[in-house]
Amino acid sequence: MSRVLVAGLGNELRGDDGVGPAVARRVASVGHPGLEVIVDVGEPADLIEAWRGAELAIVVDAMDAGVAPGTTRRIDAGTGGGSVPMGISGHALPLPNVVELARALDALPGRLLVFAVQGADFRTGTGLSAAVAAVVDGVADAILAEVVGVAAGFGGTRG
Amino acid sequence: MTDDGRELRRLSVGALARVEGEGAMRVRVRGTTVEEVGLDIYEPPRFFEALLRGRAFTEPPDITARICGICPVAYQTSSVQAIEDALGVTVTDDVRELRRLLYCGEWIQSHALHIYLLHAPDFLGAESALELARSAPEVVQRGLALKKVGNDVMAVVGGRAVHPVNVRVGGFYRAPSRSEVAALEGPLTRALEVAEETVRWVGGFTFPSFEHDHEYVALRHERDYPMERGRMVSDRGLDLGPHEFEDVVEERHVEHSNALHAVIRGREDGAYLTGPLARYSLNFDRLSPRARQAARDAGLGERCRNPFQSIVVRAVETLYAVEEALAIVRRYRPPASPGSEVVPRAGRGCGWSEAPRGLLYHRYSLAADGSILEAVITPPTSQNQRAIESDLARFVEARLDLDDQALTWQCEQAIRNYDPCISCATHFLTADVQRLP
Repeated sequence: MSRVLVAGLGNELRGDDGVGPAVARRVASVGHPGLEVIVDVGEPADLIEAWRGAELAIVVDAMDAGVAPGTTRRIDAGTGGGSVPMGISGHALPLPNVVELARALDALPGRLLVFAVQGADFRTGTGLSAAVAAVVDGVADAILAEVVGVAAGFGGTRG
Repeated sequence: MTDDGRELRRLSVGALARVEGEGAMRVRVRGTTVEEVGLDIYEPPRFFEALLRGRAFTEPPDITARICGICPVAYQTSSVQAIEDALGVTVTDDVRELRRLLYCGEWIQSHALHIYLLHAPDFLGAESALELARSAPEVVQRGLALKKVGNDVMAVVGGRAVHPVNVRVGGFYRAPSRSEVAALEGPLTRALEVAEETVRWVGGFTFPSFEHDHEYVALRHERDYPMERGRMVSDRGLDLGPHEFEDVVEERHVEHSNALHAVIRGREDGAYLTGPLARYSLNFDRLSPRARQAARDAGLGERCRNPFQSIVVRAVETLYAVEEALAIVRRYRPPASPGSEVVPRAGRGCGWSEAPRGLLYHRYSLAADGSILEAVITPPTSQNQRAIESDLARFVEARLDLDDQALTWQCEQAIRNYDPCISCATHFLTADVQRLP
């Protein structure tokens, strides 16, 4: 099958900022043929290189959009149809900037989805809040369904 | 207006763009006098030191690597060296050289990120790397390609490019094969040209006229340009080993910041500067002939005191790191053993290395079973913060004719000269909500 990449973004030592790696780890533990998982991207600009040649890339990140903790948004970022919320980031280039940078460089993957999870507590420390921990498996399942869709030939194309 | 009739201006930047981590800058001006400049930092700074207490001596390389997404190798290197010091472990030259190769990878990727995506837009009139990518995509592509070579080195030696997992106390978990390392030769050879072109490119920028007089502090080694080893020296006579660091450097709490400010004891002000400008100025003679020539051709002298030219110094250091990595790759033979056996014992150890942003010091006290009793981490941004604030005050005072928006923007640029890693200094986290237009 075509190359499919799932990447987690966030720092697991900063509370709910760790939801990205937590979901990515869950996706990796289930796995799927041809699926590549980066549990923790670290520096988001590296996503541009990681997306190279991917038919589908999915990024999962924490967000702070002022909604109920655990609320998850699925954003088709490659089409430009929905804005990517600014994640909680201790990094130099936040995810929305990286997405737009890749777009300007014509370096987006075939299709790019962002799963953004509203966090409750971003203070320094280990562990997810209960509200966020409760949605990790569900978000991972939703991501795996996208992956299976591509494997079955249902993947969309870049807009 | 104030009650004495003078105008009072306040500038503030809530979240500094394009600075690793996020912080806030505050400037208060009364009339033509800058009353206060502060980098506000909110997060409790000692979280990681507390987190390490009670952990096994084997854990700091992996835990501290997570403090920063951009300089994990610096944290790994300083921490393993401090713990090896506490345990009386000496690594072989083969292992040390492999660590230096890993460090070269970090310098290349970190400097390339800062030069192309964070700092260059300031000199080209672009709001951001995005604007630069739209107007000159080939330039940003070149920077990303250079960064990738650094990532590739880190992936081969460190096991992966982000938060490398292969470094352990006593050496490495696994030494890469000769063929794995040899595969880096082609990309590094091509990167040499790109790195040289980068020096020429940034050397052509226009730099504001500004010089500071801070004491320069960096490691210096009898042979190498400093990365993973050397003594700490300064241009005002310091020359010491890691065990003397805390005798010479004092970390002070300041009211407006949760980050500690490091100062040199016994000095009138105590502010000092570590990082590329200091490293370069104290070690120009340790650069390769090719890097020295590239520096001269780009208009740098053997010392540099204009922080805006730090982008040129970073480019020169990137060229050096590519050359150094290539030399290590070409002579690489897998070590007989990837690391030595380590037996825990009670002890106290100190270690340091030159992170891309400057000197990073670690100290650990271990119990007899190897558990950590105390950890002290002094990152480069804590050491530079006082000097940055001092420079900002002078910088603002000379530009009070600008309106607030222009002045604020120039202040942000001035801060970016130091590539401050506020994440490292404070592990700061912001909760601002922003959306793409």
